[in-house]
Amino acid sequence: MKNYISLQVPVEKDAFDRLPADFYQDEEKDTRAVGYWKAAWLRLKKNRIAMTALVIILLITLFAVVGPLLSPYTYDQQVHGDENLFPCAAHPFGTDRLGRDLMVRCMIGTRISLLVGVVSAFIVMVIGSIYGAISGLCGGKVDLVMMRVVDVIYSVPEILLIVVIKLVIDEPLSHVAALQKIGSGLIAIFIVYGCLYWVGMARIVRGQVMQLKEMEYVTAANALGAKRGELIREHLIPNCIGQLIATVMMQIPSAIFTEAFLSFLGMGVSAPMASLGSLTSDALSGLTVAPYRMIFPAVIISLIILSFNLFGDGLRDALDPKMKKS
Amino acid sequence: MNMAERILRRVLFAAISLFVIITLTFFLMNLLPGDPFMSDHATEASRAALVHKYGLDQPVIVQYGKYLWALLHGDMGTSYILQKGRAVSSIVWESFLVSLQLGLKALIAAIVIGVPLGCIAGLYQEKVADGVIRVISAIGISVPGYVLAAVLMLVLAVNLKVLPVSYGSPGGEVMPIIVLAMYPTCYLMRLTRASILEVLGQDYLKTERARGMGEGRVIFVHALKNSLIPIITYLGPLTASILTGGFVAESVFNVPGLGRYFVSAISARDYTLIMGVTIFYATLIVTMNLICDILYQVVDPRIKSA
Amino acid sequence: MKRKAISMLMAVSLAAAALTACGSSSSGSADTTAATTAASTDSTASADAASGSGLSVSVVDGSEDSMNLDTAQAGTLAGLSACRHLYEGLYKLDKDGNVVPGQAKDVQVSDDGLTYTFTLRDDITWSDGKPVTAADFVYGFQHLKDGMGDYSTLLSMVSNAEAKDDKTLVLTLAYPCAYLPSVLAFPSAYPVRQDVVEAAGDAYATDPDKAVYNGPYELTDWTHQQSMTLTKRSDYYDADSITVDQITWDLMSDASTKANSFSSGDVIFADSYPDEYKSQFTDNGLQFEDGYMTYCVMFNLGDNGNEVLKDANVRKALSLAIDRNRVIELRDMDDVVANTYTPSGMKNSAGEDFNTTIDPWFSDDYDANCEEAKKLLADAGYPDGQGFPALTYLVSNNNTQTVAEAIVDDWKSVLGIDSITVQQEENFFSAREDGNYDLSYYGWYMDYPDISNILNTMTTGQNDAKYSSDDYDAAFNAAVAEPDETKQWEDYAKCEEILSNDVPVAPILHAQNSFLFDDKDYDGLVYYCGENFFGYLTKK
Repeated sequence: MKNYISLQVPVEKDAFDRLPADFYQDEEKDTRAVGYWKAAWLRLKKNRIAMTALVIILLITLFAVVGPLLSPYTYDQQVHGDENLFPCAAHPFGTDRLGRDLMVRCMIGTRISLLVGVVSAFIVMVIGSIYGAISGLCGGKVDLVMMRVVDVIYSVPEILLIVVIKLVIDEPLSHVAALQKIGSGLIAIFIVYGCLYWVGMARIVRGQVMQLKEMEYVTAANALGAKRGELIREHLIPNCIGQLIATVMMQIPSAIFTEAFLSFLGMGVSAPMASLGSLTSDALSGLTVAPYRMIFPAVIISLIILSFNLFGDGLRDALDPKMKKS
Repeated sequence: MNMAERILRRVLFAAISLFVIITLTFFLMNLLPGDPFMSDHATEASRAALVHKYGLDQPVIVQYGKYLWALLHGDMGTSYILQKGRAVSSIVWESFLVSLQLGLKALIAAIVIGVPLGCIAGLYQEKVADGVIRVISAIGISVPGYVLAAVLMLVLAVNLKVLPVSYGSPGGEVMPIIVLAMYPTCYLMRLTRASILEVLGQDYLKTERARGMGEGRVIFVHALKNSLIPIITYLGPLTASILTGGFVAESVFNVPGLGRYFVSAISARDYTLIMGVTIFYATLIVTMNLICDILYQVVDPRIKSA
Repeated sequence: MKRKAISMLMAVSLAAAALTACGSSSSGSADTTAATTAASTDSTASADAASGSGLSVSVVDGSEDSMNLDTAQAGTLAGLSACRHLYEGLYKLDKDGNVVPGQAKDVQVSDDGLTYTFTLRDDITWSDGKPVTAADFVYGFQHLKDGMGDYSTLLSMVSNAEAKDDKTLVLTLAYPCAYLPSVLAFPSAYPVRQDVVEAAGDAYATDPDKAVYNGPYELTDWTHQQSMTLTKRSDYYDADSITVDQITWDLMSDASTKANSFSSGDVIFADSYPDEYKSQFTDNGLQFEDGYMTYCVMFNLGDNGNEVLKDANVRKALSLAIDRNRVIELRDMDDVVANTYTPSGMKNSAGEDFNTTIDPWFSDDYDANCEEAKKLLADAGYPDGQGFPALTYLVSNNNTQTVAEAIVDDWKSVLGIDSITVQQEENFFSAREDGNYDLSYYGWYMDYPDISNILNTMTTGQNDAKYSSDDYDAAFNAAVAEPDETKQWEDYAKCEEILSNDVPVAPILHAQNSFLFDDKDYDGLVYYCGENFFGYLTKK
C-alpha cells in the first residue's frame, strides 16, 4: 500500500530500463522536437484531401510531361482521314476538325497551362515577397510610400493591361521565332503577373513581417546585434514561408484561369499551340455536335484548379498550424 | 489619429491613386502601334484631317493636359471607331447601368446563398452538409466561366427551351446572373466557412462558453460578427469585379454591359473609349476599396491604418 | 442592266467593307454575304402580301460595330441591310429582289446615256413629315463623298448631280453606266437631310432620334450592343405591300449565340453560325445562296509585311502547296476550288462564263503543283523551308482559323516551313487594315455581279495586301473604259494573267453564301448581294 503522505516518488521497477527500440519510430509518440518541415509534412500526410490533391497534381504533371513522348502523334500533326473522330482506340479523346489527336493536344495543353501557372506563381512569389519584406522591415515612411504604390497597382484593371501589353509587344515579338510560337498573349500574362499580381503577395508578406518584427525573439536577435540580412534569412523567411507557399499555390489556379479567359477572347496561345483554355474555347462552338472535345480539356482544367486549391488549403494548414482550427 | 482624420487620409490616397492610373493609361495608350485612322481607304490627306480633328497631331503632353481638363468636366470625348460619334461618357454610363443591375443581382445572390451555406458548413464541420457544400464550392470555383455559360445555354435554352438565349428577352437575365454569381458564391462559401472555423477556435469564445453562454448565442453574437471581417474585405474587390468583369457572361448572353466594351474597345483601338472604360473601372475599384477600408475600420476598430 | 460592265470605278475597299460584316459576325463561312444577281430566296412572296398582316419578327443580323446607320459610313452587310429598311434611294428592291424605281417615279435617259433626269414621287416623306426633295439627294451624294467611308467613291461615274426643282434631279455621268440603277439602289446613294446631319454633328444616326428616315421603316429603339426595333411607317407610300409591322433586330457578336438563338426559336433569321453547327441545321433552316465569293490567303506586300513575301516566287510556292480539296472537305460548305481570282458565274451576252475563257492560275494536279512549289522555294533560297522566317497568319474567327491551320500544315508537310503561326484577332478587319500581319484570311464578296467589281479590288490602294502594279492598273482601267464586250473581256483576262504571275493573294475556293432562315414558317425573304430585306416576309 502506498503511503500518500510520503513525498517520496514511487519508483517503478522498470523505470530505468532502456526504452523499446521502436519507441521513437512511432511519430505520434515522438516527444523530441521535430523540425519545422518534418512536422509540416507529418501534418500534411494526415490530411487525406490534400494528399489526394497532391497525387492528382503529380499524375496530371506526369500526363503533361511524359504523355506526349509516348503518343504516336504530335500536337500539330493533322492525320488526314481521321477528322472529327469520336473517342476510339486510336484516339482516346477523339480528334478535332483537322484530324489532330485530342489526347496529345490535351497533354501539350496541360503542359502549357501548368507552365503558365507555375511561372506566374514564381514571378509573383519572388517580386511580392521581396517587396513586402522590404516594406515591412523598413517601416515608417518607406513602408507608407511602398504600400501606396501597391494600392495604386491594385486598382489597375489587369485584363486591360494584359491586352494592351499584348498589343504593344506583338510587333517586337514577331522577330523572335521561339517566343512567337508561344504567343504574345502568354508573354503578356507573365509580364502582367510580374507587374500586378505580386501586390497581394506583397501585402501578405508585409503583414507577416510586421507581426514577426514585434515578436520577442526577433527583438532579442536584434538586441544581440544580428544584422538585417541575417534577421531576414534566419528568422523572418522561415517564419512566413508557410503563408507564402500557400499563397503561391493559390496563385497557380488564378493564372491558369486568366490564360483560359484570354484564350476565350482569342488572345491566348498562337495556333497550332494548344493550352487547356484554347482547347475548351475552340470546342465551344461545336459543343452541340462534338461535346467530347469540350469535356476532356474542361475536366482536366477543373481538376488542376481544384487540386491546387485543395492542396494549397492543406499546405497552409500544415505549414501554419496557428491558423488551424481547434 | 482619430477616425475622421484616417478616413480623410484614405480618400486623399484614393484620389492620388486614381490620378496615377489615369496618367498611366494615357501614356500606355500612346505606346500602342498605329493610330485609329490607319485604314487604307482613307487618303493621306483625309487621315491627316481626322488626326488633326481629334488633336492627335499635338505633342503627347498637350493631349494629356487637354484630356485631363476635359475629364474634370466629365467629358471623355467621343468614340472614334466602335460607335463612331457617340460620347464615351454616355456609352460607359449606359453600359454600366446594365452591368450594375445585373451585377447587383448576382452580388445579392452570391451573398444570400454563399454566406449562409458557408456558415452551415462551418458550424457543422465534417458533417454531411459540410461535405456537400464543400464539394459544390470546390466545383464552382474550378469550372471556367465560359464553360459554365456554354453548358447552361445548351441545356436551358437550346434543349429545354425554358430560358431565352439573349439577354433582351424576358427571363434573359437568369443565365447571366447564374454565371456571374457562381464563382463569388462558391468563394464566399469557402471564405465564410474558414472564417467561422477560425473564430470558433478563439479563446474568448471558449471563455464565453465556459461562462455558460448558450451555444446559439455564442454563434450569433460573437462568431458570426467576427467572422464577417474577412468577408467584408473580400466584398470590395468582388463588387468591382462583378460589376465590370462580367465579360464572359456578357458576351455569351449578348448583354450590352461594360465588360464587353472593355475588350472590344481595346482591339478596335478606340483610344477614347479605352481610356473612358479604364478610368471608370479604376474609379470603381478605388472607390470600392475605399468603402471597404472605411467599413473595415468601423467593424474592427483595432485595425490601424498604415 | 444585262450588259456586262462598262466602267464602274467601284468603291474602294469593298472587300473590307463587305467583309467587316463578317468580321463582326465572327463566323467565316457563314459570313452572310454574296451577290446574287437578283434571285431572291423566295420569289413566291405570297399573295396576301398586301394584306398588311401586322407581322412582327425577330432577326439577328450583324453586331453593334457593324451597325453604322449613316448611309455615308455604312459598309458592312448587316449595316447596309438595316439601311435598306430605314432609307430608300431612287431605286429599291422589290419583293422578288429586282431593282425597281423607288423614290423616283420616272426617269429619262439621254441618247448618249450620259444624262439621267429623275422625277421624284409626290408622296414621299421623311419620318418627321417633311417631303423628300431632289436637294436631299444632292446633299446625300456630297455627304457620301465627304464622309470618306468605305463607299465614298461609289458614285464616281456621276460627274454632276443637280436639283432642278424640288422633284427633279439631273445626274450627269462621266461615262455611260448600264447598271447605274443597281448603284443608285445601294444605300450609299440614298438621300440625306442636311439640317438633321448638321444638328446632330458627330452623333448623326447613332441613336433613333439622331436621324430621319425615308424608307419603309423607322428606327424606334436602339439598345446599343443588344437590339434595334424597326417599326413600319404608316406614311410610307407603299406601306400596303410591306407585310412586317415590326422588326426586332438583335445585334450579337458571337456566332454560337446567334446559332443558339436561332435553334431556340428566339429569332427566325441569323446571319452567321459556327461551321460545326452545319449538320444540325441542314434541312432545318440552313440556306445556301449562290455566292460570288473568293476565299484567299492574302500576302502583305506592304512595309509591315515580311521581306520574304515580296518575292513572287515564294508567294507562288506557298499558293501551289495548298491542298485546296482538303480545305473544301474540311469546310463542307459546297465550295469549289478557286484557280482564278474571279469567281465563276460572270457571263457575257453569249452566256459564256468568264472563267472558261481564261487560263487557270495552276493545274489540278496537286502532286505536280507541290513539286513545282518545292522547286520555287528552293530557288528562292529556302530549300526544304530552311531558314524561312517566322510569319504571322491573321484570322478572324474559329472557322477561318481552322482553314488557316490546315493550310499552314500543308506548308509544313510539303515545303518544310515550320515557322508560321496562326493568330486570331478579335477586331480582325481593323488589324488587317492596319497592315500588321504577314499572311491573312481574305474573302471578297461581290456587291453586284460584274467582273469590274472584283478585279477593282486589286488595283493600287484598293487592297489590304498593299499590292500595287502599274501594269495591272493600266489593264484594269483599259478594261472598264472599253465599250466592246469582247475586247473588254480580253483586258480582264490580262488582269487575271498579271495576278496569276504576281500572286498578291492565293485564291483557295469560291464559296457559297450561307445563313439561317426559318423557311418552314416564313416566306418572302429578299436576298440581294449578301444583304437582306425582311419587310416582305409572310407567315406560311
